[in-house]
Amino acid sequence: MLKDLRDLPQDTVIVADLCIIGAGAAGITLARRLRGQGHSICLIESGGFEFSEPVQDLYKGGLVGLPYQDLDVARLRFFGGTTNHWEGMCAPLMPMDFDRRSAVPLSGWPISYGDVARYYGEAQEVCQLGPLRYGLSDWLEAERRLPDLSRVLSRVYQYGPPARFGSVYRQELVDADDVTILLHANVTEIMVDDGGEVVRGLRLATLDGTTATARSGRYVLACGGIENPRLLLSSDQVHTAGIGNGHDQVGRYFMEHYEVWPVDVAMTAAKEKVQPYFGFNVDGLYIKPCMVLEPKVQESLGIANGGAVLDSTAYNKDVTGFVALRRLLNGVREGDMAEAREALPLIFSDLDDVAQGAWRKVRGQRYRPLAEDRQAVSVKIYGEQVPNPDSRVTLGDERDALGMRRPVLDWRLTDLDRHSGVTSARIIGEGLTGEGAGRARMAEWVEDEGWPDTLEGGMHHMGTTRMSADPRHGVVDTDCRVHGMRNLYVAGSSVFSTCGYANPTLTIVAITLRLADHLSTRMAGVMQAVHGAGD
Amino acid sequence: MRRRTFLRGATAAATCALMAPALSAPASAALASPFRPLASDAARRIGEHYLARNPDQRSHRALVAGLGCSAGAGWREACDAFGAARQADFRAGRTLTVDGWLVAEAEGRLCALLLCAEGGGGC
Repeated sequence: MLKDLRDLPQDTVIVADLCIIGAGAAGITLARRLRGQGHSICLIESGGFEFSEPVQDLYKGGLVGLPYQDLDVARLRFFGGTTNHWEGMCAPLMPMDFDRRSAVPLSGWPISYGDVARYYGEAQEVCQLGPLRYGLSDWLEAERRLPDLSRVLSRVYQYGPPARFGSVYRQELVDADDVTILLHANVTEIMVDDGGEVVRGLRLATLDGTTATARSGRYVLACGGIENPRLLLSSDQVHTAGIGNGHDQVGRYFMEHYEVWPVDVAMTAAKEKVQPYFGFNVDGLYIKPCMVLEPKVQESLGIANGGAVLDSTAYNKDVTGFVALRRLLNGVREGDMAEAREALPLIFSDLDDVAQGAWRKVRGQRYRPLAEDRQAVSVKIYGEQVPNPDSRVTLGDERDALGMRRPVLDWRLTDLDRHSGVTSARIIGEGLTGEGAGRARMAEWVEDEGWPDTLEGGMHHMGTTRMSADPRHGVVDTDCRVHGMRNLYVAGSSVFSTCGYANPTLTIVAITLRLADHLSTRMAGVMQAVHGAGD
Repeated sequence: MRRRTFLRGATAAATCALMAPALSAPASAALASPFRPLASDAARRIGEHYLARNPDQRSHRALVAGLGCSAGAGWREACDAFGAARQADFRAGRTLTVDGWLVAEAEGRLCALLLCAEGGGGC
C-alpha cells in the first residue's frame, strides 16, 4: 500500500515489524523478498515517484580530496534511488575478492564467496540480466575472439535493460498488503534507547514541516554509501560519536571503482576480431568483454584487482561519428555553435559509424563504435580501490533544509591503487602485443606522478559501513547488523569489505537477499514466540 | 617517438626475421656482414635504450646469447630465435618502455645487435 507522509496528521506514529530506510536497489529488494511472510514492512523513501529538485537538494554535500562528481549528481533521491540513472552494468565479485590478500591491506571478508554466490542467480533475475555466466567463452566463440592472453582471464560484463527498480517493482509493492511505501519521509534521527543497544524509533520529517515517528522491531538502513554513514553519524543523542562508531569506523574506507586509461594499443588484429570487444548483443542482452589478471598473478605482483575493457580511442575522446552527431544536436539545442561546428567534420568523416549508431538506436540497442582496421584502442581500467581509512565520509558544518549536517566526501586513492591499475593495463598491453594483436604504448601520465586529469569514479559508493568480524575494523557484523546494536542492520554497498572490480549493484542485491533470509528467520522466531506464548 | 616511426622501428626486428632466409652468410663474422639489415632511427633508439638499461650486454656475444643462440650465431640464427623469444618475453612481462612503447627484451636485444653491427652502442 502507499502513503505519503505529507498527507498524514502531525506526529503520527507508524508501527511495523520492519522499517526499511531507503527505496533503492537494496531497500526494494529487501521489501520484495520479505513480503508475504506475515510481517508488516514499512519502506521509507525521502522522495516521491518522480525526481524533485527540492528533495534532490538534500543530497548535496562537500568534496575534498580527489576531484569527484557532485554528490547530488552521483546519486538520485526518489523511489528507485540511483537505479533511476544507472547503466545496468553488472558482474559478480570473484572468489579472490573475499580472500585475505597479502598485498591488499584489510582485505578478506568475514564471510565467504559462497555465502554470497548462492544468491547471485536470483540477483541476476532481479537485475533483469541473463544467465549467471561471466566467462567470455560463454558468449563468444573462439574464432571471433582475440587470442587468449597469458596471465589474463577473459570475462564479461552483462548490461541489463537497465532495470529501473522504482518502475519495475513499484506496482508489486504498492499492491502488497503487508508493505507500506511511505513517500516524502526523511529520517532525521535514528533514536536509540538509553542502554544504547536498541533502536526505539525513527524520527521522520517532510520538507513542508510534517513530523512523525516510525517504530518497529528491526530497522534496516539502505540509503547508499554516503547517506548510511551520514545517518549513523548524525544520530548522536546517545552515542555521541554516532551509532556504531565506538571505534571511529563509520564513514571510513570509502571505496570507488576508479577509471583510468593507462595504455593505448595500435591494433593489428582484423577489425572483425576487435569489434566484439566494444560490446555485442546476444538475445537482447548487451555484453562487454573484460580482462582480469589471474588471481595468482595479482598475488605475485602484489596488486589489487582491476577489470580492463578495450574502448575505441576515438570514442574515448568523443570523436566517433555518432558521438559527434550527439554533440552537434546538443550544441544546437543549447545554442553552443562552437561545439556544433567542431562536431560537423567529425560526422562527415565517419558516416559509417553515424549510420550504425543510428540503426542501433532505432533498434533500442546501446551505441558501440564501429571498429576499423588498424583500430586505435584504449585499455580502460575499472580499478578496485583498496580499503583506506583516510578515504572517508564525515559530517560538514553546512546544513540541509531539514537541519541535518551535510556530508563531506574525502576521496583518497593510494600509490597501491595507481600501481595496480597501471600494472593490470600494462600486462594486458604486453599480452596483446605478444600475441600479435597490436602494439601497446603506455599513456603519458603514467610516467608522471599522481593521477591523470581524466581520473573518474564510477559513482559507486562502497565500504563506509564495512563488514568485519572485529568491531575495531568495521561497522557491521557478518549478518549486516551494526556492531553493538541488537536491531539495526545495514544493506547496500556500504557493507562491502573490499570492492573487487565489478560494479556493485548485482552484489548489493545478492547480499540483500542474504540479509532478507537472516531477517526472515529472526522475525519468524519472534512470531513463533508470540504465538507460542498465547497458546 | 611518433606511432608510425615507432612501429617502423619496432618491426625492424620482425623484418629481420623475414630477411633471415636470404642471409646465407654462415655464423661467426656474419653479424658484421654487408647483408645485415639496416637499423632505422627508431630501432637504434630502442637498441640504445636497451643497452643503457643493460650495460653488461654491450657485446655481440652477450646479445646473441640473450636471444637463445649459440656464441657463433649469425643473423639467420638470431632471427630464427627471435620470434619465440619475443613472444615469451611479452607473456612473462619481460619488457622495457621506450617513449611509452612496450618493447620485449628480445626486441631490445635485436635492435641493440643491429646497433652494434653498425659499430654503435659501445659494443
